[in-house]
Amino acid sequence: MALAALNWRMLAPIVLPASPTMANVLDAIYTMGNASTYGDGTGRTPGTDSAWSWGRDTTNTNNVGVTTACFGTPPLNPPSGLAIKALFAGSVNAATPTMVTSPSVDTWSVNTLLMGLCKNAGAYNNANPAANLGWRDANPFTTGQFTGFVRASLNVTTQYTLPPVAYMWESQEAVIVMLSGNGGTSVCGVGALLDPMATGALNAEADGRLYCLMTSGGTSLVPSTFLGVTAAGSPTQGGGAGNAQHFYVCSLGNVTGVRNGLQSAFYYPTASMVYPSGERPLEAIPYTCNSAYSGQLRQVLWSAYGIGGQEYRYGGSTVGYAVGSSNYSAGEIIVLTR
Amino acid sequence: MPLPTQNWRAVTPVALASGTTASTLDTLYTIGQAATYSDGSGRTPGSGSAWTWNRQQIAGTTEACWGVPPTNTLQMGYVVAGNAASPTPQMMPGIDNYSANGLAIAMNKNSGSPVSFPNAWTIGSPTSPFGAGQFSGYIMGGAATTNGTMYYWECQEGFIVQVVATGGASSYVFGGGAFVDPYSTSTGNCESDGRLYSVMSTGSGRTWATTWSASGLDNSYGVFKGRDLASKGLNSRFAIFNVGSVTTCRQAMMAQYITTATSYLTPSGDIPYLPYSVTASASTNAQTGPFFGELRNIYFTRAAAAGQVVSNGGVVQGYILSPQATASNTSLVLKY
Repeated sequence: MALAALNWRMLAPIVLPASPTMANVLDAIYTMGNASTYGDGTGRTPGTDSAWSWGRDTTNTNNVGVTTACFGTPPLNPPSGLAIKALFAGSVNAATPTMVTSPSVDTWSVNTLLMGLCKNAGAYNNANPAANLGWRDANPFTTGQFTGFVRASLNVTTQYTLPPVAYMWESQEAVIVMLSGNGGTSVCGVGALLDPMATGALNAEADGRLYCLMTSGGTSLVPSTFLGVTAAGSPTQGGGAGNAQHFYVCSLGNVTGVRNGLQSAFYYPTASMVYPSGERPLEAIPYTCNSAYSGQLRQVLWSAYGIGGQEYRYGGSTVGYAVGSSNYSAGEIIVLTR
Repeated sequence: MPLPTQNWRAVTPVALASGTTASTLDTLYTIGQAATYSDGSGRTPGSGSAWTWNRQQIAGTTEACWGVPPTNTLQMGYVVAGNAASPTPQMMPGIDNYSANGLAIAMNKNSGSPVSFPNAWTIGSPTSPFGAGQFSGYIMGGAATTNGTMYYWECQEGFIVQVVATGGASSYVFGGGAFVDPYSTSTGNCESDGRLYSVMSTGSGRTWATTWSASGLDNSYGVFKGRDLASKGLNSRFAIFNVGSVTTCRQAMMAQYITTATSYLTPSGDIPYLPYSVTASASTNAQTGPFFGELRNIYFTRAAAAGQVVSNGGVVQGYILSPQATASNTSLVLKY
């Protein structure tokens, strides 16, 4: 039995300054996350429908007065009460936050976007900046199971240029961020991205979900062909070495570990791989975790070539949004359906 | 809107009397008359999932079997034929040549009602063996010189035959039907009834390759895996009728690559059902456009052996379509 369909929505992208600071990127996520309208002009109320609620940390002693973290809460935390929080962080100053160390070891790097997830999360821990480490703490949310961070970008100041643009899409249970410019693109996502397509204690969390971290990583940009075999920098492939691309699935239950997720099948779409009518195929992407079938991405589908950041409409209605390797050149994409 | 769900059923496998076209066709005919399925449930041709099969005999020897699906909006007819001579039937243009002792498979739309087969299966163009409508021409199926056991599955709008060679180490497959759901009714994407009609085979004189679905092995013979023009008469085929009142077809193949292991189950031990997306194939073997849709109630699943039945708690869930009976390979499951 499939989980409820997610409805992806696109925030208005934010053009970042040339050579953006880490704070510029985090502020963009925060600003998009607090927008009162979507990119298409329709209303948005954080905490309802697909709209996440976002806070930020501007008092962290790592760099007081600038944003070093953004933390998001999905509008739909499932009935079982698996309270999820997503966390993006990074700084121009050195830090030693908790990083994911297994199956691969990711490491800290300045001006690099980090992404983590906490199950059964408490409040973000920056109530007393002098005493609380916030995102640099072992568990930034005090309680629950924090995955640790993975790298979600390359150096934001030097990589995404002329101009760098921040994109964000959100749904009831997951969010995806893309940084893109002439210098290339990075993509990351966090939340209940996988539908196990099966119930039962072995297949899913108590709420029937599988919580995930998806990243193109901190060593390669998203290639124009990322849905095929072993594409470094693919946000969907997973399986990369430390600091590279990952698709991590949280270990089930009250544990902090993550497991490698891998695309079960490989795709080589082309620009012409569309229906005779010109419509796009929208096809499921199944996953394998620890050699077992683990379901499929939720309303994140492969399609024919496209350009990241584009919106697809048929008959005047928005069908979905493209996430890909570039915001100006066609390549392989995934489509987040509305 | 998805097309109606297909319910695949299996008839009890039958051993061929010999590896000849006549024996193979007679076995298909016999299976098509079965009054029960392999699970003991009743089978009435023309109802439920049960196709109606007839045969054409020349001087007492069966040279063709033609089948009609129980759900048949576009008056489809399918024919499987062959003999030991070297006839010159209407072949699908540019695709295959007929080779003696081979099986040829074709389809016909707008055949009239009831569907009939008044002409010789070898009748020349432009006359259809079905007497009316649009005839696709034949693709080549397996080598009927293969002796072994015939497996047969059918659903409301499709049939699949697999002949597993004696010993079980190889097999060939052919079938026909409205296998693909285009998930779209936009102009050009489907026939007037929302379907896409097709015939498929593992190829002329070929057996189903165990590596058929692996990345980089587009040239490996498989099921629902065709290509245009190149190596005429040697390759697996998946011919989809172009829409409308035309006789032409496009070759199609899977739009994804996958290799599964026997351990590829859900953590709780259930088998997975992965969609089989279908797109056009190029003469270079590569996948290209246009995109056609997904197979109907046919999915990639764990590696398994040919002929296996998938059941859960004693309830049949589906049937395995896989290259070998002696080993487990990446397979398809036909959902019950």
